[in-house]
Amino acid sequence: MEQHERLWELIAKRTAGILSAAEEMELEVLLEATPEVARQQELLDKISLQSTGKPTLERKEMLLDRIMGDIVAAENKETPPVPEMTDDNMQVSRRRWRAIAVAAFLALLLGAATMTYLRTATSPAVVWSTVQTRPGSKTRITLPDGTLVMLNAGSTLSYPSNFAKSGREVKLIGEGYFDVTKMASYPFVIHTNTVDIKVLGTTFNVRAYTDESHTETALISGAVEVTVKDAGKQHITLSPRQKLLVANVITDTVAKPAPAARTDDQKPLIVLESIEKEHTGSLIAETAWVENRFVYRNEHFSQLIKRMERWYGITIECHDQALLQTSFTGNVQGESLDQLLGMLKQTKQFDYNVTAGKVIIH
Amino acid sequence: MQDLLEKIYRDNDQLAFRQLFLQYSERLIVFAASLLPSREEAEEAVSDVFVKIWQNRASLPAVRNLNTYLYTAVRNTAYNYRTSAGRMPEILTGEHIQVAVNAMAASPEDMLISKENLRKIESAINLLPARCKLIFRLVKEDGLKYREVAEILEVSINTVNTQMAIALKKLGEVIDIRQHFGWME
Repeated sequence: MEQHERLWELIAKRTAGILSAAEEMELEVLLEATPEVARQQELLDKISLQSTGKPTLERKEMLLDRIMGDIVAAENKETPPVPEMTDDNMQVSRRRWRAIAVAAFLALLLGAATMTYLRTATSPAVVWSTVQTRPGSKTRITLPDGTLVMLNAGSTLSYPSNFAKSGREVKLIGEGYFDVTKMASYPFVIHTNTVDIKVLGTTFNVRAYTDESHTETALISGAVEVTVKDAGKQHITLSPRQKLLVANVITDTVAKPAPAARTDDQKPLIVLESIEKEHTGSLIAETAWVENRFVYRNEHFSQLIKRMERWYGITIECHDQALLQTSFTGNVQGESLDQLLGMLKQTKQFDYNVTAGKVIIH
Repeated sequence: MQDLLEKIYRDNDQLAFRQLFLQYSERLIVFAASLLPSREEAEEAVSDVFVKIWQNRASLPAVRNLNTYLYTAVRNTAYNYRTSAGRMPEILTGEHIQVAVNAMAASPEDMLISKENLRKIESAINLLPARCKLIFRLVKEDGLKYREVAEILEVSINTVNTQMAIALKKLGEVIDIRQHFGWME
């Protein structure tokens, strides 16, 4: 009996990997005397557990959004009248707490303008936070004012530590879809290399990849004002369903005169276009990526492969000059790289090899 | 993992924070569900913990062991819920969380456990006393060390060892060894 208890104690220790050499020998002797137990434990060692009822990825994303929302509400609350959570119904007290946070936030807004000045005068160095996505991955960010940003692959968004109090400024390289929280006296400003975009509360898409020829601002709803950053400082106000293309060469070659830059790109420097719906329903090409859809419309292959590289997180090498000048149109969702290449081949035949993260087109 | 923490407290990196949540939330929610009566409250407790982690990210450099830090924070939050609801904190059976068991074959020649035995182990685990089941799960499923479990549940290492011994004994006993030998189906 005594011995049996010792046996189980040692087996438990073995499971934890904390047996001493002496105990190991002792256990060996005990197990030899009870071969059945030895066999059973050997089998038990080979199982793995998996609890049921774990949250799905979707559910986890939802919880994350709620967490970020709570963080934002708390940050905007400033003076904390945190009520004690004493009563027997957690749900109710929590909701009430949120209502107080929102009320405090609104009250704060009214007195915010004067506070901003004081803060910038006294606060220590501003720290910029940066969120960066690798090629092949996207993310969602909730900014301190509740603004939601979907950040496309290979993009960077930065915002200052005093974001909510400093006039809501962010810097963007790459592509982002913005759903800006309305705050009448607080414009939201996005700085890119080529343009600054001023908003009052609206949804729109900004595409400002440094390796592309143009910076594109596509407005879905509301109103935005785009300022072109070159010498002219031209302001353009967009209406819903309009998009503005501004050539990136302007800032890349500040020293060069504009006409010289114009020669290496056929498109004019600033173009205002309307956003067209795809033939299939309500889809808009400019924001399709938010729904994980890869859309290309009359797009040069040279441009298309840059986007594919970011989208799939791979490198593409193309040695076919004629192919680079060919335009493609199409639209895929959740398709693998191989399937997409297969579709493109139907427009214009080409051969390719795929090796470890790299596609070579002959 | 240290990288992730560093990005959170040094760069205020939301992406790193999201990754931390995505990596740990499953285990922590299942853990919280052993301390709280519903899935919803378990999710709420873990969410609260992550809100606090972000708010107090300046104190993250002091974290030595991320496992014990996170699990302990969840335990404290869950206990606060229960004491504020006027109930004693205790470990619950977590009826809404059941354990499923798989065979883990290191190599094809490895001895495999029969389906019948797997089923028996599974129901035996789910029938273990609440605290025993929780300790067994934390070790076998979440991969925690005995001293981590002891710290998280505020018990002695000796208690963890004893509870593991009880679990291993009970589960071993349900295995029919004549039945297993290598019959896969």
